[in-house]
Amino acid sequence: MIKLLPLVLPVGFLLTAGTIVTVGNALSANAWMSLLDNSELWISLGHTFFVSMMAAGISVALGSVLAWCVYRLPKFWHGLAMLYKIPLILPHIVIASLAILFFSQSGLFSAVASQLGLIDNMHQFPSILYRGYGLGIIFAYVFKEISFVMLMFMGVLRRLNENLVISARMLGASPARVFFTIVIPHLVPMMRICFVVLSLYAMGAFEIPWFIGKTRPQMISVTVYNLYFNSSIDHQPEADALLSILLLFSVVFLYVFLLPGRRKIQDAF
Amino acid sequence: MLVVQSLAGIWQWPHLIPQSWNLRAFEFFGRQAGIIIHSIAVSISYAVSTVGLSFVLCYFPAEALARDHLPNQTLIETVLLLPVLLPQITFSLGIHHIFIHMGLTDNWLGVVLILTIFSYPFMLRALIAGFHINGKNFALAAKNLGAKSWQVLLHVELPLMLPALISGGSVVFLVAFTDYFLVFLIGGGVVQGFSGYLFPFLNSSDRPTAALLSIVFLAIPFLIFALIELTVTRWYRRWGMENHSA
Repeated sequence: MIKLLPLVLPVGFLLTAGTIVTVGNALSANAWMSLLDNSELWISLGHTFFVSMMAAGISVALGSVLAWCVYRLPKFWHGLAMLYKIPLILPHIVIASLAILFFSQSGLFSAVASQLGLIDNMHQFPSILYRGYGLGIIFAYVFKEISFVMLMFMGVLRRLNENLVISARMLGASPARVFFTIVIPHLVPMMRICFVVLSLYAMGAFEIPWFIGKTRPQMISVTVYNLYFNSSIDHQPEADALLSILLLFSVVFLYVFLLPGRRKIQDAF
Repeated sequence: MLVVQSLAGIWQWPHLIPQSWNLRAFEFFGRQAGIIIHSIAVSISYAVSTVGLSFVLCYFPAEALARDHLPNQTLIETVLLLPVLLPQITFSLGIHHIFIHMGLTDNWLGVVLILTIFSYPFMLRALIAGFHINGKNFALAAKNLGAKSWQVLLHVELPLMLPALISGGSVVFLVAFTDYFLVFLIGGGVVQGFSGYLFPFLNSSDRPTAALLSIVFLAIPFLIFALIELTVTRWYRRWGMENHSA
């Protein structure tokens, strides 16, 4: 037990102290009153949850298909397929700027559309990034998260017993059937973990929404930042209250989702 | 994509490729080289220190978790991995407050500390895996032959853990190097890392320069990883170790 101390002491202290400070600050009644009054805030919260979970869900779904395809590639392509790992090392801010480059009204896809004669001027191109249901943010997150998901899934796929697949094919299963009946159930524990991890991550991330998010509704990480730094000090308890909600939700979310598969998680790790 | 951008001159809307090319971005880079290199150095320094600190902090706990049978082991492991699971902002603002009281803001040490807090789980996981792979037998054999504890640590355990250290360290380095938010929050602009230097450019309309700087930003971890691969692989061959990738 004592061996754990070098880590537990400083980290545990700072984290608990940080949490106490945040929650304590939030306990003033004013903060909660103004929060409850502010309906826009609740919409923002909902929006945040929606965007994060959408991105995580899409990444997990697409990632599983892609991981399986890459896994089944003949040896020759394996080196090239390693490209999938690139988004992982891209910093968020670069991904955000790439998203702007491609998807904005003055961006590349818009230019393609105009060359194809679909639109006449740049304003006709749908404002994906700044309006709509946060599609731009979802794209950016999915881009990065798919890479992460594929990395995790490749590890799990390596433990899949090849014979299951061979037998299924011999018995006449189509590739799609093989995928849905064998591969997916094998991946489910990791899918669950990835979904939770990625949702929580997206809820807390700040850099991407700061660049390509819109102001109403906002991702709450941006809201918190604005409340904390760009307005008077009175608003800090509000920010802390928001954070407390987020923290509470995260803990509950973690617990609920990971409870059924706890032992499997240890294996997956 | 980024390469094309960095070379572009004027690139107006409906055109699919730049209308003119020039090296303006590169000229800018040349002029500003001093500042740029300084900020890269700062970033590398705090990233490497974060790796080092997380290694020191995680070494013994990883050994305890991997080898000793602790009660409630699963629970402890889950709790220890939390900083990476829960959203960063929930903790960082509170810790920011505390750092202010402790005088750790606007300085390099505070940045290293906070980066360590949020990225040590990766190192911990890698070290635990490493400990699982290397059994206790080497250490036992060494002790049997008469080595003292610190000798065992220095000459047997640590070299064995090197692959795990590299693997965990790569992830921690990447996270620490590319982080913008935490460095900005705790460092407050005084600690000028490269991510902080890059940020305003991405916001601006000076796309070519931003693209060039982004390429540099990406290239640095690449280079460092390549460097490590080369040197460490040579060490492995000298010691007769196979290449474990944890």
